[in-house]
Amino acid sequence: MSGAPGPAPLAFATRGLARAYGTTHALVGLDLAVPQGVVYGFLGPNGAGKTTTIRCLLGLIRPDAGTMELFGEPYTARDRHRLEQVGSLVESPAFYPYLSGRDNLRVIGSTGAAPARGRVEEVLELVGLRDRAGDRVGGYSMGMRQRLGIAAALLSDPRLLVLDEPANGLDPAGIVAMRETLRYLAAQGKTVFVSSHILPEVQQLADVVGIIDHGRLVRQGRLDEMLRETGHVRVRVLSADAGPAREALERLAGRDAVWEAAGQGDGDGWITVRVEPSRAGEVNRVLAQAGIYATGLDSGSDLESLFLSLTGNA
Amino acid sequence: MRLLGGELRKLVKRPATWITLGIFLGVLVLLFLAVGASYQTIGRAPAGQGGGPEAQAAIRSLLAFPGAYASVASFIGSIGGLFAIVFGASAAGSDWGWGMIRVAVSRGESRGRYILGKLVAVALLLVPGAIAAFVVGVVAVALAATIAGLGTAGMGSPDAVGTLPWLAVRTWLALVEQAAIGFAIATLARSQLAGLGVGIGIYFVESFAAGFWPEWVRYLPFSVVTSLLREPGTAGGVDVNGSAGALASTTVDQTTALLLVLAYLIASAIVSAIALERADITG
Repeated sequence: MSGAPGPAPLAFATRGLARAYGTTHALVGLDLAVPQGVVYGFLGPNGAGKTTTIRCLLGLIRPDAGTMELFGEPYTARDRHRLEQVGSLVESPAFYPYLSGRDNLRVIGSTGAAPARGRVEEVLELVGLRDRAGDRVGGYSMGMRQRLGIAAALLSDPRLLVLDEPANGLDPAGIVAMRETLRYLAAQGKTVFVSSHILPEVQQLADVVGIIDHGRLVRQGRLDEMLRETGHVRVRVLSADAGPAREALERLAGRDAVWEAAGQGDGDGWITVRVEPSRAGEVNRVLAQAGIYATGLDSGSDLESLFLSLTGNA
Repeated sequence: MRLLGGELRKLVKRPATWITLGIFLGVLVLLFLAVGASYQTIGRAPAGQGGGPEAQAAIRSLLAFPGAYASVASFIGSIGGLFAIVFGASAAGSDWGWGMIRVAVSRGESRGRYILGKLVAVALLLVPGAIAAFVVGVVAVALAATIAGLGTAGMGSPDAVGTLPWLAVRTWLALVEQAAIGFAIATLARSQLAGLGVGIGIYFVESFAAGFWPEWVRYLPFSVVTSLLREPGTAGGVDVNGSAGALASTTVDQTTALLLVLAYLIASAIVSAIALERADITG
């Protein structure tokens, strides 16, 4: 006998989480659900409550109200030892500047869960810092500190990895390497919770996204499903054809799904149609049937548009 | 043990640890040598100008063995206490400044265990620190006594040498107590600089207040150190200002001093643990 599959087990969840700093309400009843084994992109404008949420999770501050769960079990200030299953890089990477990268990892490893023998060298290798591991961290570049921070987060082989702006200071190659590392970790069954402002980076990395604003969750779900909703096709037509093109496209997608961008002064204009990107050919055919030939066409989905529309910053 | 090893590694590899010790040893040597060099000059100066036989006798009580052992211990416990405050405050405060408290707590480390482990590491590292200071101090005082023409007779006196282990333990306890006070202030203030400033400020306020309310001040944390390190039946020792003087009205008996030092030490540890346990770590 087989039953229907239950909901995905959660790595971390909050219900009604609230926290104020004086009269400023950073979190106002936040409900998050972070499934296990995914890369979760945690997004929000500055001051939305992202860092406060992470601080509550990591036992750095206590919430004023609400509950949290870690790996399906209730999680309170008394259960802070369970953070041994969590690796984190919060705000900026913190190290002793007078110690080498290797010694920093050793002293960090002396707290919390004990790293396995040889783990320090393993994570140094993983983040590409083994050659510089004997140098004082005070002489490291920001990108090197960031990579060492990721190494420190991985030190105890955590089930949940919490990273706050992990791409900060990384060069393009470093960003690609980090993305591959995080995807690899998720493929190993670990949960990666990434808070970031770099939306294209999150779009390439995350499976599930949560967007918060003013201390509340405004949207949470699978990224591919969200992007389907925000899919669009853009066509470029001669300005003389703009009116008839718009009418034809409105017949296809509806009046509210078509809008025209301001002209670029070169005689052509872009018209955007909110349809799934896979319908680009259909859009082109409709124009051709109306006797209009597009001079340009592109399609795609855009997390940034969704983010801006949800957080009211469009 | 893993936590303690990590804390010791941090302290041993930190340049500030060695700079603090180096400056203290330098001050220790220079002061004793200056006292030794001034002995003959002071003897020739008139009493009205701080010289004369009485002033020479005070110097002799500092430099002549076996009483010089107590002088060295007393100097380490008093002036060295300032350096112990610096050491304790920097051990606790720098973790806030560098954001390392956040790293330890977010790894699931117990806050209480972390802060107490750090304090134990400070106390352990003060063992070789106190021994080094004592050895350097004894060598410096022997040199000073030689310069002064007092010689070092009595240095190997079996009675005096027999009291050295207990004197060393008391000296170490005095340093640990004062380091713990700097440590607690830095933890409360979440700042190395505040720990240094407030700790040293209290140290001087206490010694200043001793001039007005000696009956009360003798029970305070920095004054009890003087009582703890004073050899019973001797006038040896220096007060918290580092000057030899009449201490009877500002001291308590050694057993009371020991109990008070332990009480201040334990209180500092408890305050540190509670302060960290209750703290919001937002930096």
